[in-house]
Amino acid sequence: MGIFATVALAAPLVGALLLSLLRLPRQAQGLTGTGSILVAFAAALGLALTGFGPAPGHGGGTDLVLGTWAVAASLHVPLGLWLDGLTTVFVLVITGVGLLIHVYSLAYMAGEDRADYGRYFAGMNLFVGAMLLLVLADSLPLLAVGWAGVGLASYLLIGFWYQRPAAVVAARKAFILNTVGDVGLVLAIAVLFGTTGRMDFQHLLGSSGRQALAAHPGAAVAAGLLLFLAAAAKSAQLPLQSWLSDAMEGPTPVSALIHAATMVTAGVYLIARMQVVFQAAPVAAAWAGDLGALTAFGAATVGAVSYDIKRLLAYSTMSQIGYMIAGVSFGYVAAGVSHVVTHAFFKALLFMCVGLVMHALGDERDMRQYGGLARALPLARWGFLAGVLALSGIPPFAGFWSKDAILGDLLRGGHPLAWVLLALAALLTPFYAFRAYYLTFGGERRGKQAVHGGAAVSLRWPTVVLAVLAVVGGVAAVALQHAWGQGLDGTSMVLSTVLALVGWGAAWGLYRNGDAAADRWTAGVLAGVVRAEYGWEGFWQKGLVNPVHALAAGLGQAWEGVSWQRAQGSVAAVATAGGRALGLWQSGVVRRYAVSMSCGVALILIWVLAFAH
Amino acid sequence: MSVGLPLYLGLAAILFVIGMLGILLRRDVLVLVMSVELMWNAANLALVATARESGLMGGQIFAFVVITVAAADVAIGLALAVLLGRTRGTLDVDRLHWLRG
Repeated sequence: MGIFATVALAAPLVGALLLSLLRLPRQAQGLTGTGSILVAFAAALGLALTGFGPAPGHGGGTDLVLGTWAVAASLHVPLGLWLDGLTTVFVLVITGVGLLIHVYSLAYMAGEDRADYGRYFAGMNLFVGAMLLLVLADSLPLLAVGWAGVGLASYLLIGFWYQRPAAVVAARKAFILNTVGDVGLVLAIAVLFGTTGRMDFQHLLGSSGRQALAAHPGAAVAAGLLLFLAAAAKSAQLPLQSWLSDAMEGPTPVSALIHAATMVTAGVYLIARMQVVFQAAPVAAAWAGDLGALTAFGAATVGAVSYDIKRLLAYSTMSQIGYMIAGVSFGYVAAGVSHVVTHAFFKALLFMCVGLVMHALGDERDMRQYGGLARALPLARWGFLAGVLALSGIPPFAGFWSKDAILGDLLRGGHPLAWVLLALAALLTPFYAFRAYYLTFGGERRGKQAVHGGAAVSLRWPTVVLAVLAVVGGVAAVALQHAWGQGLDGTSMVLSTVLALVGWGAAWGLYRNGDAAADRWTAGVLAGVVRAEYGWEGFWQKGLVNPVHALAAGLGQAWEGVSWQRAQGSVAAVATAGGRALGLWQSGVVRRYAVSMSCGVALILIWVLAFAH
Repeated sequence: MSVGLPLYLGLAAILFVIGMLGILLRRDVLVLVMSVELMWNAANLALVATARESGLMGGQIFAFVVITVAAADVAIGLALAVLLGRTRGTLDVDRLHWLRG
């Protein structure tokens, strides 16, 4: 069991190291990059089969100690892996979906030259490895290492095409916003260490951590809010969400990896892992859950008016992650994590299909240039349809089972605000998903680009596998919920189905012909405001970036222009005057020196004789 | 018939003060060197006297070290005095003040 976890963690990191240090030929690069993830996935399967691990939230789990990282006074940080059901699920999703995306990348990135090809796979392997470290870590500091590694890898991959200014800006934005979250995580670790005296999960998640947090409710609330801040940055939730839509500047498989297997689910994992904090701090849980639900609704509205298909999928991800955050924050770990699994299936599938479309149309991302692609790109069409059905929560497709579980739990658990927001999002989700589907594949061709059909084998079969999973993946979700003690709820299922069908119906009514004329309403002023994320960017720009720039410019002028020179002058004046004063002492007359010395010695003697006993 | 330690130390103190006054009051470099020599020997006297009183050899050994260093000191001091006399034409320390800061 332990050996599988270790191999799963080590393989991608070794792969990243080999790819970045050696000058391999192109074939070997692809083989190393994909092979390392294949090894990791095989190990993950071994891990799941030899011991899936107990359900999370009860402090049960195996601490596989590999060594000691740091010991200082009462601080003891172990170096090891934490194995329980939550970890196993995440390791399976990360390596499984990650493997499919790597295989897809083999052909998708074939146009890059040799050095970039290797750099790409090195980044991808690092991404997977860091994410595995994040979910396998047995202490908060080690988790933070993986956390930062994921941020680094995302920066490298979003800015993969570093010749494009937009990609560089997007990468920097993602990194900076994630750093805000990193600060939250570090502060949360400090608060938890101050409260419980421990940083390792063995004690933190066990009864001692629980008691310490119960005794200090204020600290628990602070830790919970800080953890949510960290999760919000990584998972693109309000108020730190805006990097995700810009992150579309990276290659499409990178988007798939960020959205499905790594990165954005890290926040969900963090909250699910630190349930002990959120149980002790219902206030923090409510803030986190309600903000997640608000993100789910808000992002869905933006998605409904987007033209750029990748941005639309990004808003869709924010929205779906909002569901998960709401679920796990309120303590519904089984429902939230099962949505991570199904979302990984269908979101990776949707990105792969978009990748196929973009590949065929010369990287066009604007849906207004699409239309009528159903015949030319049958695989993308059917795959996208399966993904859209799963995303919309139409039974019996994968997304339904997990999304409905979250809605049902919130309804029964009495969280009306979050439920209403998520129900509205559930209404909007099929609308924007089918809008994208009809506008892309229905109707007549609108753009002028030539369509290059016929995708490579390694583009095809990962898409097919994920399409199958998007259709039947609900089994995994239901099995997981069952294993973690959650049943199905008939009332909620009917309600969810009605919501999804109404949303689909609205999209069908408007867009079934795939006619761009039906989309005219999105050109309105209100839709424009929504498309600009409700002016959120402008808010940060005016509220934070501009003032800081102005302050910096003002300080620069004041400092460099006037004060600095004056300061230099006064420093010099002080030194000169001091030197002159001390120079008087240095008379050059030997007998005066002798007097000084005699007086000094006399003073020292007096001091020694009078006081130094 | 031994004389008491306080008398030896008193003599040493008197010699030391005479040497110090010589440095403070006289201006001839040669006299200065001689005054320094007087202070060395005042210290030596104190060392030897306390060594004999306490019966430890350390003080006597240290007195030999002091004699050696004092010899070197005189050698350098006299050499400097000769050079100063030749190049500056005077041995008055109050006029040898070109090291003023």
